[in-house]
Amino acid sequence: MRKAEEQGFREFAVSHAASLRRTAYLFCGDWHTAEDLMQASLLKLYQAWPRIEWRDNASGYARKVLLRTWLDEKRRPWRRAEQRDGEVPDVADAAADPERAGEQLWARDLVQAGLLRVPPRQRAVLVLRYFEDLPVSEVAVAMGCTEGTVKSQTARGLSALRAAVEELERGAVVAS
Amino acid sequence: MSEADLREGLRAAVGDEPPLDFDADELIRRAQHVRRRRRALVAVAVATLALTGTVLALPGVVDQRRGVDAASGSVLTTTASPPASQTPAPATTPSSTIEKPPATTSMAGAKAYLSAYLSKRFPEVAPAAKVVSAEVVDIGSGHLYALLSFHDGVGASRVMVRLAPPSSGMTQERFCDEAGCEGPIRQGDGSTVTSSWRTTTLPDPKGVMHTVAHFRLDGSVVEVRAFGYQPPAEGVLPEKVALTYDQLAALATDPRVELL
Repeated sequence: MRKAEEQGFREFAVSHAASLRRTAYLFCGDWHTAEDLMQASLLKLYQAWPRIEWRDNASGYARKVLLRTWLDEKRRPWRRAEQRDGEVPDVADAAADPERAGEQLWARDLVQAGLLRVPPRQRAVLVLRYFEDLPVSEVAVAMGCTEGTVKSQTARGLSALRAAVEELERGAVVAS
Repeated sequence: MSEADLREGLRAAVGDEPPLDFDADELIRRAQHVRRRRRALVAVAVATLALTGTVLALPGVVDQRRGVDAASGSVLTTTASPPASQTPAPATTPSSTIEKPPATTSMAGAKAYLSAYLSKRFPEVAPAAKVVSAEVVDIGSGHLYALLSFHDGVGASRVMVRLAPPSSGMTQERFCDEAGCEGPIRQGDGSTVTSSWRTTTLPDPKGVMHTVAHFRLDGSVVEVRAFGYQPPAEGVLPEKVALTYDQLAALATDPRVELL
């Protein structure tokens, strides 16, 4: 790889590392795994960088690599056995209003816990559409499927997420 | 939960993001290491494949060359009928290691001698052939009939040697009437060699046969007949016989193949 290409990749990696890690976190629900996924995706991206540098949308390609990396990771046997729907630790935000912060934490925990109960591909569609705010066409490119599949997966994902959140809310009420 | 709630929940979920300790230079170093390792692995794989291919191909090449050398003598050429102008090649000189015919006139002794002699002589004429069995039978009126079964690396076949005494009355005309013939070709001692290279469909087993007959000065006749491969050899045309004209002629004109 030439110096200019390497410099281009370095700038891209620095500017996109954080957003890739956030997306990866929403996929997997764990910051350490998200960091690994981000690093693995950028390593793969480096190998392909001479081919994709001048493409219109390198960040879209990076998202696609990240998604494939995560789905590949999910297929591994030791990942299948791992359950990540346990208690999410509360983290206080001292700068925020305690009452408002409590509501935010409650909503965050519900969404995060509910999201982890949604099947992987539906979860990926929800993250890409509602967190990354990507249009259906770009989600279809990232997922490697048709737009119709994206729409159907979105509808099913939303339904599954709502059901999971309701179930979590019922459990919380009973517990309290 | 509305879509707006979902958006807000997703953004809130990453609100407690830990600080990012990302070193792009370190990542690039790792990526270059991965690339070097991958290239090394590919190089090793290619070298291994090339080596394996060479090792596997070498015996075939060596065998092929060996086969060509052997065939240059006499083996397995199942060529079409020779042209009419072709003269028979000089017969291969019998090996001195093969014992002389015993001085016996009994039919049992002649059969034993012919069986032993042909079993040793035939591999000299057809070096690639291994004689599986040799059987000599007396078909009466002083005729001997020898049948050798052999395998020459291509397939299994047989060669038949028929010795007719001077009293048999076998003539060239009769031979040609029976089988159709080419020749005769006069030998140095005045005898003649006649061949039948017509492809004949045999009833059982089905196949082809080529015959060379040596009409000797004493009136005896030695016929040597080769057949196709049975069962049919893979990659060999069914109308091909297992021995060449030269090989048949070498046996037919061998002075030690005789009635005692």
